[in-house]
Amino acid sequence: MLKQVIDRAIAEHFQTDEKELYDLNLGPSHPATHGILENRVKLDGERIVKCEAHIGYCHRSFEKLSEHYSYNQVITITDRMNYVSSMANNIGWTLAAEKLLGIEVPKLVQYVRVIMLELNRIIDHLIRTGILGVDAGAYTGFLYFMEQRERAYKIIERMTGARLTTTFGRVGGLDKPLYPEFKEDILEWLKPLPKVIKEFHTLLTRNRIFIERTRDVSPMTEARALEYGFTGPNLRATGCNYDLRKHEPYSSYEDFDFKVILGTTGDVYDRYMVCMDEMVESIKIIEQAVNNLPDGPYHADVPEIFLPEKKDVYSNMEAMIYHFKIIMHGINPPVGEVYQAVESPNGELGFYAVSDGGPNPYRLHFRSPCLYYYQAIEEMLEGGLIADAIMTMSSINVIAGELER
Amino acid sequence: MTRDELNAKLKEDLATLAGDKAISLEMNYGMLVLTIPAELHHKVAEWAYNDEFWQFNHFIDITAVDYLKLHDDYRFELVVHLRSHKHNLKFRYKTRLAGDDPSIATLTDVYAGASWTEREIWDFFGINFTGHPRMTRILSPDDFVGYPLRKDFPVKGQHRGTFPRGTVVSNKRREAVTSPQTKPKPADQMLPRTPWEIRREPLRGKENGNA
Repeated sequence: MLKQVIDRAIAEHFQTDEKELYDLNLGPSHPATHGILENRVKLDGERIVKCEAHIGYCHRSFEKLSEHYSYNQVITITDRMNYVSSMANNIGWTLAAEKLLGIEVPKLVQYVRVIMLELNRIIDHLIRTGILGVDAGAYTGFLYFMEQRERAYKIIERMTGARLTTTFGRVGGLDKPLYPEFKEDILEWLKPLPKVIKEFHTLLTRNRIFIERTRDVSPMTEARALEYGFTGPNLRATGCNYDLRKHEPYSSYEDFDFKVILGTTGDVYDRYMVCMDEMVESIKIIEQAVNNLPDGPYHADVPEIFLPEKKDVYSNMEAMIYHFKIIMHGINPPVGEVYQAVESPNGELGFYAVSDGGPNPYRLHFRSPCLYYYQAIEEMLEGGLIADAIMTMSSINVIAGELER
Repeated sequence: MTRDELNAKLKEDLATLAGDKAISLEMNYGMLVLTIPAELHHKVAEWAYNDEFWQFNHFIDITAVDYLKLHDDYRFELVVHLRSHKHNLKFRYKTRLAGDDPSIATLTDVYAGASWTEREIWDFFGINFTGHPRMTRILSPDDFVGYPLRKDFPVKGQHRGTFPRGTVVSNKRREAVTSPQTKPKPADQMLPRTPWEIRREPLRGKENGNA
């Protein structure tokens, strides 16, 4: 009698239609998530059945802050967005402010911006591909790339005085003239890069384990990626030809000859290969820009916007008046609104600025590419293995600082 | 077709779509900008996505601006940027919303990419999107009070929240304690006292003639 009751109870207990799912928090603080990102996943064995992404652990309210900063001070905020390639953010914002003010900057400034944008693209892709290798278990390549990144920081440090928080450039030009050995330094830095990239290719690209870990993992179709608002390398990996440098050229990108790298399926392997090949194209652009670097002033001739040189402030009456005006009253653009986007290493980084004619932006919105990638993560992870989740999160290169601003 | 021709054609098409309801339709820094009342918000997005010729299938951005007390007839403006991959053309449309707590139809059924940005707008501006699958706060904590990007929200915040030490943060809701912000001390009181002041402390009462 008792045995029957127990048997029935056991049978009832195990004969439920619902499978018992295992809840797991991937993140927020986990070495494999690269930033403070949280994914609450429901697991059936090793397979992810449901995923819910939560963000907000790194929010610093930049949009509110920038409403109380002057146009040049906002550059310091943009440093802290994508800290892996902060100069791209600085340049993006200065371009947006210049569009609002209607300033045309000299050719030299445009070329230097192109050089620094591409240098930042390279160092971003160096860490991005390197980290993907680390997540797959191949640590060696990462070290090859970090060495080159460190050498790039020497140049950045020499130019701006900082490594990560660069605050490069001002509204209307560069903050100071180029240092004398700039050209040589850049060319010297470029010299070993093709060889290092080739070495990295031999480590990973044909590696059987790496291919098995990345091929057909979390693929994305072109139409779906466009709907989600994908841009940059992640969109190009799906085969969609969209590169702001070609399609909406800014800062003299139309002068340079380069290819847009396209993938086919938009899986992790394609994203990796697009980034690797983009570095080679960036090297080409930098070489063209450095070899054709024009002479000229390092800022536009806009005394009411660009701060005069310090020695003029002390000796020249006019310069002192402008210095006082800019410091005390700030830059006052006309009433209006503008949307300016740059092809940052991560994708389309847009700045939507509304001016009410005052010294601060009335409203400033950062269109960060990461937000649009990361909202697709739920769709990308569901149905996949938990080990693939790590590779997917690493491959779309979500930077928490840019995601949450 | 060149960029200018495309923009001219788009201007015609948008004018016929919005009809006499369009508030303005003009070029702004090389981008066509359409301003519409709230009831056309979803219709324009639907048209832009489904139109055979244009195919605005690339979702770029949606955000909001708070014009507190600047205009009589509306307070918020939703700003949407869309791009046609076929023609490589972007355009912007702005939707005017009246009232302090407006509500509007979501775009997530047309563009999947609008999901988190609309949550962000709810989080920061308090604009409710009806029909959104998960209309919760995204960047600030769930129990945050107020909408930070509104113009009447002080930049220092309304409350100073503290997480009590040793509490377990549950998955559902974080137990945060909010207390009214205390008034900061005047600057001279925050400085450490100099030996001069410390030595003169016992004398202070005598100077006033109390002792």
